[in-house]
Amino acid sequence: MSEASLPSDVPADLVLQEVAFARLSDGRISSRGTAEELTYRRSAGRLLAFQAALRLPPRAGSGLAPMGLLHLSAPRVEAETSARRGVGSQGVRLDSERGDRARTDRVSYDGARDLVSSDTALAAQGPGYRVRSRGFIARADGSELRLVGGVAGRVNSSAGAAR
Amino acid sequence: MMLAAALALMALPVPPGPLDFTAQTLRTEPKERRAFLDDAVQISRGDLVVRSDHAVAEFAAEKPARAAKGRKAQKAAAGSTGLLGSEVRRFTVDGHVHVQRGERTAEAEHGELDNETQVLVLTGAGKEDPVLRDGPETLTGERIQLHLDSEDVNVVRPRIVLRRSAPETSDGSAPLLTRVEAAKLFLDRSEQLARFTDDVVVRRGDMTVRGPRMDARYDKSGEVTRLLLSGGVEMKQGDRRAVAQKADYDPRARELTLTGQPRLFDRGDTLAGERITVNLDSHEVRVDRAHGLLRPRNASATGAR
Repeated sequence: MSEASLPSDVPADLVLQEVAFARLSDGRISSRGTAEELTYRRSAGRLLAFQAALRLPPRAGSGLAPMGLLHLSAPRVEAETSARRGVGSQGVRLDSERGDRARTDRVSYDGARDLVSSDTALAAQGPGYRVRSRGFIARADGSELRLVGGVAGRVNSSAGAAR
Repeated sequence: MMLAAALALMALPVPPGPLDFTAQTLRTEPKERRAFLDDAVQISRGDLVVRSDHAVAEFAAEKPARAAKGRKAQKAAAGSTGLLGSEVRRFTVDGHVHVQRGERTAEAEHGELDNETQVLVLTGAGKEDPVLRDGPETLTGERIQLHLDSEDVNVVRPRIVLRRSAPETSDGSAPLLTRVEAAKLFLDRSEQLARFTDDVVVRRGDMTVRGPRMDARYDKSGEVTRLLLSGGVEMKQGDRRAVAQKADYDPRARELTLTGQPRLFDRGDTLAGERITVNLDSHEVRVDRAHGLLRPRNASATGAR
């Protein structure tokens, strides 16, 4: 899904300002978020959000669990709810409770394949590591991460701490 | 020479600290606590640089999230399998492994860097044996262990050519090189010593010297000054054979001196003495305080003292 996939000339069914939302899963709140503006086109099942932010507690035992609570934000988010796809763009940020920080310009989410990917430069750092790449592909649950297109980084070794 | 080069290679311990890496791709397997680096891999720390086709980083167990609040968060973190942020315990590198520290290099097919013991082990992985290089000098062996913090080197089944000790030839012909083989080699920089043990063999031209142990000593320029064999030594050169408790090989003078009840056997002649010296170029033999039995050709046995 691209930014151009949501024609602006199609009238929105719903426009919300200063939005706060929660996602329910199995009767419980699985994540919370906010957006300055959210436009919904029901016929296409499309959402467009500006200045969106999401607080996401990782699933216990998942690859993301050590990071603690995750904060995701993007100036622009387009989503196709029926296809379970979305694109965050114009500077996507991930910050974790543990102190991890990741920045990239654009991130795509493919819910059907449970994949998150980016073809824009990624810079990430956290306790004991920092890494850069030209893109990435990851399982949404954190069980696998592949940095692609050239990778450079620094990791802790048992012989000493990261500077 | 190469042994000295290897000693120099270990002259400065690699400083502890984080490891830098580059590669074309990085793939993590958090549950296995591993990360795979592929294509044009480079791992470095201090002046140590390791390049290879592939590498696998094995991470230490994850600590619980520091800032986790509440029971749920703590429980989630404790049962987690996070990866980046953990310490790398060990790197395994494969395919065209190239190690560089300063001007010295090593090449191998396989390497394992243990960050806890600070040992880098290089092997040929069934292909060519690993090689340690310093200019024209080379040291090969089945297995080369570089101790990154203690400056020491262990080599299993080392094979070394002492090139710097070879004399220059006036006619441009290839000089006779001294070659050393053994089951094990330990390089101790603090003692400026290379200790070969088990099945030590020194070859130069038609001469072969064997013994269970040999210490090679160097001067400050890295030149071999002495090869000292001990524990029962046997020398062969053509029809000539000698045995002694010790042998002292001077690569510059190209002389081998046998001491410790040395005995020389040469086509029926048997000589013993306090010291037997063999010039490896002229094949001249000197026996100090000689006694023994000479058997001139076409003559009956004659005793000589």
